[in-house]
Amino acid sequence: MPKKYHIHPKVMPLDLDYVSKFKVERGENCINCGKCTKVCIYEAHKRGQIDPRKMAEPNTVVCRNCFRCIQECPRGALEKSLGKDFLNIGGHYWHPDMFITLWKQAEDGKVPVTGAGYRGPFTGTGFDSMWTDMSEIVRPTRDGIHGREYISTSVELGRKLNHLVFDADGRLLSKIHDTVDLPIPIIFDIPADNLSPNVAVSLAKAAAKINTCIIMPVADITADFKTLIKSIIPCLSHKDIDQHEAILKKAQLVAIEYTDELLNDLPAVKEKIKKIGKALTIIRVPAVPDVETTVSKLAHSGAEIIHVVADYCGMEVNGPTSSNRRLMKDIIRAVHLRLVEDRIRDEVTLIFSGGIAMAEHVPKAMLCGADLTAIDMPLLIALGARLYEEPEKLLILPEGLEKIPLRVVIQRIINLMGAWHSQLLEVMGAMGIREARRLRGETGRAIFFDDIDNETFGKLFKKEKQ
Amino acid sequence: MKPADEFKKIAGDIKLLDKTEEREMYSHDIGDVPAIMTKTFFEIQPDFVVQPKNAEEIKKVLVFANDRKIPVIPRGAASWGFGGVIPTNAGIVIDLSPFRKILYLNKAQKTVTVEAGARWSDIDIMAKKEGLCLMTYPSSKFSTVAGWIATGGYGINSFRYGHLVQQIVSMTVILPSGETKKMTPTDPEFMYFVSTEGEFGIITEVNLKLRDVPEASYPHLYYFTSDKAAFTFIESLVEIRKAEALNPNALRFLDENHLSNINELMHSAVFKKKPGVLVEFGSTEDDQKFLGAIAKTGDIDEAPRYVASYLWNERLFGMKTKRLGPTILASESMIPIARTADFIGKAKKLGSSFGVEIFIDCYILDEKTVLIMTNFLCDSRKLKYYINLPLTMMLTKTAVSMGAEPYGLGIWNAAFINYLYSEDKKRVLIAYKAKVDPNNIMNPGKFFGIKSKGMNIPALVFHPAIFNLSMKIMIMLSPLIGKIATMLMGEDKKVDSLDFELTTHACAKCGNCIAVCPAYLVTKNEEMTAKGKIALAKKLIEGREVTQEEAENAFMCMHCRACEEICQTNLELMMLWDALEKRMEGKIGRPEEKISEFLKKVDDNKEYWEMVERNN
Repeated sequence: MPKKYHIHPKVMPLDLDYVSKFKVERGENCINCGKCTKVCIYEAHKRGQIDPRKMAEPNTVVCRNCFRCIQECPRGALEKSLGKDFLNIGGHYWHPDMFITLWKQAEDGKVPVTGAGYRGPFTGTGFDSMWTDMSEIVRPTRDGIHGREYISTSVELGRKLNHLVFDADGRLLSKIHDTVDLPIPIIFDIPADNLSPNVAVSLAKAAAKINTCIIMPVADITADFKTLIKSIIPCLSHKDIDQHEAILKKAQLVAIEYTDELLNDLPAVKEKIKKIGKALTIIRVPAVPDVETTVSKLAHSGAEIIHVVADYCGMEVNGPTSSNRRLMKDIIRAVHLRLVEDRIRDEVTLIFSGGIAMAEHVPKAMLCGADLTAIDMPLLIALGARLYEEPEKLLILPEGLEKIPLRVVIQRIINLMGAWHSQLLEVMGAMGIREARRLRGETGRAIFFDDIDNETFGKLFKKEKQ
Repeated sequence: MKPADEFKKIAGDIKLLDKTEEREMYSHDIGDVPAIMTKTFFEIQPDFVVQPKNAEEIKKVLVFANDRKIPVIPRGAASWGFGGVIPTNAGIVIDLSPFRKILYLNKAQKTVTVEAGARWSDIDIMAKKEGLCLMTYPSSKFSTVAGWIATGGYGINSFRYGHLVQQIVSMTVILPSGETKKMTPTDPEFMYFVSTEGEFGIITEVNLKLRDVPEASYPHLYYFTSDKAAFTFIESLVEIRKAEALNPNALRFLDENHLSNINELMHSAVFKKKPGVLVEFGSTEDDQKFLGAIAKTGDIDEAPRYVASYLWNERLFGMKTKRLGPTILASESMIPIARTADFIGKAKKLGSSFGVEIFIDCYILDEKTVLIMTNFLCDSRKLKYYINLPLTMMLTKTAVSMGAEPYGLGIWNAAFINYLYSEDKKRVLIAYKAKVDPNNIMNPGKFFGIKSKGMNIPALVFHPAIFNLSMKIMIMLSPLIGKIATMLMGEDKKVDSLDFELTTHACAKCGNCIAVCPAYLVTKNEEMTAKGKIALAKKLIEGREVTQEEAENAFMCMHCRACEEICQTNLELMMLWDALEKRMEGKIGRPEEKISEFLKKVDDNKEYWEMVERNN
């Protein structure tokens, strides 16, 4: 049995201006008794450094919302409220809680708890309306991470044959296509323009360390990335292939931007790339309405890997009205089902990206029909970035990010992926699935709230509408 | 060899204080008597101070004192102003203030057993958790149990529940010989230890009656056109009390000057400029009965409920007016109700001769007697203060010549002993004293008669016959003396705002802060309390030398603000501490190590955490 794939986290705090969910405030009536320093196990409360007779301002960042200090303060002098900054961050899709979780995961690679139990809501939109199967959660699932149980999270990228053909003598006639194996069903997508060089390099290095890949615009691949080229997926227009032969030669995978004319030229383009090196081709398709038709056509034209890219909130792009745009969950299901109907699903690899924000989105996307996912925003959030949806998308990278040592940035990305990998193992362990590739399209392993809502109450309410 | 060094040899682990600055802390009480008066005639600094932890240690001290014939001065919170705890001829101060544990609360019998130094406030807080509370308590609620037993014993709710004696189930006393006696009020000897200011022994443990927490508080404040009218009302109320089965907890009179002082402190006209009577009830039933009875008397001017409530809730902060002073001088006596209005008139006239405004606070004690406090504001920093001081004695003299009894003797009232005790009673007391305290070690040089060092001039001055005669003459001449003094030295004007210097003078030295100070609880060192630090600030302002240790002590503070919260005179203490620490830092730097040692000590102290939780 091959060695277990494991991501090694290291505590890597970043001294940045974090936003915390709660703000602990010390009232005027504090008597500096120091009880809070005793009851807080996270050291959020300490005596002052300059004058130890007075209490220091509470360090909210380390607070895990256990409320013990609030309860135990003999004067009721401590108060906890939702931070204003916290409430402003993110938006409808990027819920403020996600930032806290991602920051924490990037800090130590652990899965943070969020205080005194989860009190709901238990359903929402998009991925939140999916409940994954936990029927096998009968043994310590930690077994999957550190113990004796072997759960494989690896996935295979590339074109597969629908069937094998043998000659009369039983010799294999079919030519088996090349594939690329990744140990986790996650690749990095380049998240934004104008990343400082050290961040871009760190992302590539982190990808290399955990044996996955990062998609990068070919123009950005400077000499700095020379040694990392195995982990980089150059992204370019099919017209520019000739210009970048040197890079494509060494690459394992190449991403080509989709255009309508590409649909006709696809076999030729593939051939061209194959001639330069051994790289497999990913066709990068924006998740426009009816993207499933495009994907189907591509698959029929011999595409190996198709990457469907939704917007940063996991929504269809170029939709008619914002309210009618499909969410990632539904896009994946539609694309997957179309290919199943076409009896071609098994032959191509589907990558989905856009709106993959939390660890659980990975297995959920796979249950909907993705082979793997690509992530972008969480990588920057791991580095302390803040994202605002309103009034328009705004990504704010923390000040001074370019001065932070590479080592720190790399480790934080590794930590984040470590935490996600652990969660993936947990979810798979709970489902009793030991192979990540078996997750694909296993909708029977999830409950879709909309479906059961319909099944249960649909008859009662839908009829009235008619 | 000094007595302190001698005692150290046998002291074991008895806590002993004998540094000069420590001894100085124990040479004053709440009174603002100029050092020149005390120091010239008396040896007010004790040889040393002990803070006993148990009765055995107290005995050891008494045996030692008897051996050497050294005076022993028992001391509680020192919140009484007649010199009862001031040494007259050095000796040993037994500081019972840290001896303050609440030992046992019997919920079924509604009693509580406490050590001598237990604070009334602490007992009340603790009892309330069990649904019980104190029956009566002194207006300085942060004073000690034994302290109030040894002095007046009248206070809030005395009208309903009587003198403190009636709430004592039993108490344990150590006689000067070292013999321990547990006695109940029926014991013939019991009375020798009540209101006798530590002349016969030391109270160590007391068992007190408690009552159920009352349903609610229903205070009423009525205004009257004159003091006379107010007392006519009081007399009629007292008369019908039995017949109508009225149960007021407290009945209190405040004159118009007092009420307008409160107005001035609040910078608003909450109270009418009229004399007022405050009555308080503990249940709806009592309140309704009273309102029924009042309705019959016809037209009466009642203040709004919130005004009455405010006044009632301020009952524990009688010294608040000191902010306007910065000094407050008072004469306290127990006078027949029928004579009170007349006395107030005379007192005010006497005051106006001296250019001061007398304000009155009375608690009605029973059918016949009123505990009256005649107060006036002045400034101890001014020369005129030396004329103001004897005025208090003239006021007392006026009262006693109208049939009043002095409310305690101490040093400054000792000359009035004949108005408190009849010749027979006095003889009995002296005989008992000779029996139990043949060496006269217990709190000597006061009460029965003043004895000072050297020429013993005060003994002459304070000799009852001479003193009363001279007072009489002074009162007679007061229109003249007073007017001349006022003319030369000006009237005493009220102070509007306080700077640091005034703050130090406005401190009432009531010791409330000591009762709530965590630093004191842990270190038992008064220098670390607000009272001690104000004394230090005063020293600084006067330009006197401050030792390294004194300076360091100013930093031993948790900044809990308890002193500021409890301060009678509402002093801005936290600001003062910041300023004081800054000054000290300039002198000696910041004693970082001492501070962290102190914090560690506090943190490790069980009693500290109990205090923190108690005030929850």
